[in-house]
Amino acid sequence: MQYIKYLLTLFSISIQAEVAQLQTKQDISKIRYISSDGKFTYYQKNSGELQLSTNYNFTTLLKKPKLTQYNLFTSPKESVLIIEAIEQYYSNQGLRKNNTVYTSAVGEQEKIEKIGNGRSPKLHLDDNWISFYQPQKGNIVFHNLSAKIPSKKITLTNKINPYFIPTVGMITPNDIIYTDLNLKGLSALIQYSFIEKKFSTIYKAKSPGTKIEFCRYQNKLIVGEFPHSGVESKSSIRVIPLFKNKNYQNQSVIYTNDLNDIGNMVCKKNKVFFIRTNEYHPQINKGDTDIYSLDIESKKIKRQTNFKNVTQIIPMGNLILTVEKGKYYIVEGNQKLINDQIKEDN
Amino acid sequence: MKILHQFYQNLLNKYLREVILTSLILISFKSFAQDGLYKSFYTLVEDQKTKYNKLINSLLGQEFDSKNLSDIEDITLDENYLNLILQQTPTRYTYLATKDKCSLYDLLAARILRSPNGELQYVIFNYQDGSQKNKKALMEREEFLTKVVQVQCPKVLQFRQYFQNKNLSKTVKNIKIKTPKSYEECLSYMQDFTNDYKAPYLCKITDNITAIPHLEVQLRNLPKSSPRQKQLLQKEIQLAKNQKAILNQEAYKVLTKRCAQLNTPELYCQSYFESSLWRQIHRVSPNSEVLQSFCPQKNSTSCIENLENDSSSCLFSGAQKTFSLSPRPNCKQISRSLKKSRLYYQYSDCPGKTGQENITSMARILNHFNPKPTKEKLNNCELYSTLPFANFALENTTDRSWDVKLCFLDKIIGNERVCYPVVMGAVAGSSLSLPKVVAKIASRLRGYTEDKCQIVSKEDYKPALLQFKSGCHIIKDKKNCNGVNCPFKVMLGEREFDKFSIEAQSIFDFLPKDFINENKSLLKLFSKTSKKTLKKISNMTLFLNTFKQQKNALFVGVGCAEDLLPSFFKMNSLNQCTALSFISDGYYKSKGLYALNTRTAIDHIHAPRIIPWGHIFSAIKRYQNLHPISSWEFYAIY
Repeated sequence: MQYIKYLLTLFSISIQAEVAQLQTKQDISKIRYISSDGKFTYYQKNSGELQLSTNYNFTTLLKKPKLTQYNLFTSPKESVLIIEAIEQYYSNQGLRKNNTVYTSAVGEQEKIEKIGNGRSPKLHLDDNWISFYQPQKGNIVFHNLSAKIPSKKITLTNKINPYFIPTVGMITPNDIIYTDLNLKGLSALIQYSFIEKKFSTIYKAKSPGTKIEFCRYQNKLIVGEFPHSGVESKSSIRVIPLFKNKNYQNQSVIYTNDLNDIGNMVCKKNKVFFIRTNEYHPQINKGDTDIYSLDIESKKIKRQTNFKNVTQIIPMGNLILTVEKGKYYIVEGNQKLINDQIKEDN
Repeated sequence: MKILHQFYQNLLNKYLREVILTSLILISFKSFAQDGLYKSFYTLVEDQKTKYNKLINSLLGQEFDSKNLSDIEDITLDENYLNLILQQTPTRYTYLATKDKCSLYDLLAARILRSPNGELQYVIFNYQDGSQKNKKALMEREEFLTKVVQVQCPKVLQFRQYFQNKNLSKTVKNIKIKTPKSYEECLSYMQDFTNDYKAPYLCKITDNITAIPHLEVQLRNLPKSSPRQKQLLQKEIQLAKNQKAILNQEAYKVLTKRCAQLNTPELYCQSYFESSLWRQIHRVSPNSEVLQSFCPQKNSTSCIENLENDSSSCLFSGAQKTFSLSPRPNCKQISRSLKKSRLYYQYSDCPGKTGQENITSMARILNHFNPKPTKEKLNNCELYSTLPFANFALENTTDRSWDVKLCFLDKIIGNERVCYPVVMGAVAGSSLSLPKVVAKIASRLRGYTEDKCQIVSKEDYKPALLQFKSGCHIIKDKKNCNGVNCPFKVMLGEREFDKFSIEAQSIFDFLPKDFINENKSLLKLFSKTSKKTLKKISNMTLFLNTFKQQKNALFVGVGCAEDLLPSFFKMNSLNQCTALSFISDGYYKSKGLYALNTRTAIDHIHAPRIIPWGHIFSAIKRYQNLHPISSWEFYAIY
């Protein structure tokens, strides 16, 4: 039986060719975002300015104190840009400190709006909503970007890990899903209805010490459960239909691994990209890790990288990137580089 | 040389006795009893007995007259005799006799040397008589000790006194069994133990205690016709029981293991470091801060068993009180890491309550090189970080490194604004103690006469109660409180006292961020003021060399949390890097790859992680790429 399982695994994994390095026209360490069409590049300066470069022109979008650090986020739709500004980045390092969250339209040169204070901002529901997390209070705040309606918030029950960062999603403007942690260290995926003020558990971890991640594909949730290092549990990815699924009992496992995958899932169309552990070296607590893609329909998995030391998958617009020894590589998607060379006169 | 020669002979004998005999018994006693191998072994033992008895009998009755002796210093043990008794004495003990001439007498005095007949009764020795002729004679053991050993090695008998019944209790009290933190340290302790003149006596005591059940069986099976033997056995059992009552159980266990492997210290240390840490800590110090981090209910033996048997119990057990990143590593990993750990960790901090992660790392360094302040029991765990940090910053900087203070307008000096630095908790004997600082301001502005106030939590403050009607109370909202920022209310009797403001900032460079202020970064400042070397570590080779050469060195760095702890911190944007400081204090190697024993600033001090060097390298590299002066932030400090 084990032999058959091994053969099946062997045949269901295909291997991807080499990945290309991300091309940039300037020092990549200054760049914070490049739009998929290559028209807009956002970069920061040590003087505290966040600038937008487009069409031989540049504009200063934000000017904050010297050495402010910026993180920029979008969704694959790339209509709204989230800016997270971290002031006193080098002299007041705090992982539970709130940063300032702004939004702007991608490519917009002037209109920037301050949304609030928090961390880990994310866009939802066609870029109409933004959520961010406030670690000190354990609140997740949901803010509507198009209508002037009051923000909504929910407080986590987590009392066991002050550095826990929830994964957050929205099904409708009134129904949210998020991950939380109970006193025993069990993670759970919770649904909350702001109208009914009712919580339902979509999925509860099988053992303490695993993390739950999720993304949405059509009317299904793709839920990954990945054990942290040292936790003896299996890694798995399952599909849970969101609707017509009483108490979310209908669940199907589409992937498992006996080793502790890092996970860090990113979903794109019908594929889930995640970091899988192929071999584990207990003496040095190191896994041979690479990015794999899992086809949600066919359940086939494909190896996307061959670095053996991958730790992160980074979504950037329509691109999926990874970083290896300080260099960025494109795992999925095509980078469009605008040819801005000045044409020679004939 | 002679002794060494016998030592190797003894090794062979040991091999014959332990390995071959065990194999023979296991396979089939009966079949081998007729075979040559068993016969020859049996014959060997019998031969030795015959030889020994023959030697004794030949000298019994021949009175030794000390008048015939030219010099007592010339007496030497008879070579054949010595050979026979060393073959009967366990090899691990003969190892103790290799130090010097007197060390063999130590074994004799401690009753460790054995003859083929059992306990050693006689000593056979050579001497020269008045006419310089070589002669051989015999003496009873005790007589030999008092007449010969007393002259040749007087300290042996003096030492024996310490282990007599009446002195044993006092002697044992003064024995300190040190717990090794590393394999090298373990080897060094074993070396000290084998060189210690107390070792034969301590080992004999453990042997006596171990033999109690066996002697009791012997006593039960003794025929009634042997009253003399019965009396001797009872005496022996009683002595062992007395010794057992004096030597505590933990010391007995440690000494038994050490004594069993006197001649194989490597094996002892290997097995010591393979066995788990939890029971060891519990044995040595049941109230250890380390155990309390995982078993908050003190002396919980079942919790210790859990840590030992269920590796997952370290992930979250007690995590609510340690306020740090969880899940922590499993018990096996923590056990491995703590044994490798160099960083001083005999106190319990709480990174999530410190208020600024780099304060935690900086305080760990300060406490490592000067652990004295951590020996005081403090009420709030964050004070183990903020107090040494504040003391260092206030003493050595003029900037906002510790800008946590209470300010007020002092009418007496023309409404001038006066500020007193403070830490957000009570610390006996510290001018920074919050109750003291508040009382000082209250006395200045309201004439409050006591020298301190009382801290109460918001939940415990019940104004209706009599105890709150008078005095000074600082009411803290613990939920919104950390070591830097902790808003509170002061009640003087039933009236609120609010004529002061709280300033709560801690802004400092842990490592240099630019060339102009390079020397103001706290790590550089510490290395300068405490005359420590700060060396940049750019690769693994340099790490290994420095680690091996500098036994107290710590390795301090800043990197991106997304690389150091990728399963906890996910990147969602290009160049996202959550800066996180860390301290490494040990390493692991496997197939040419390395990992470092590491505590990030958000890990609890008792829960180090084993982080692959590749992750640490990437973390520092990415942080370097973003750094204003592209500085590689990984240093050794020693």
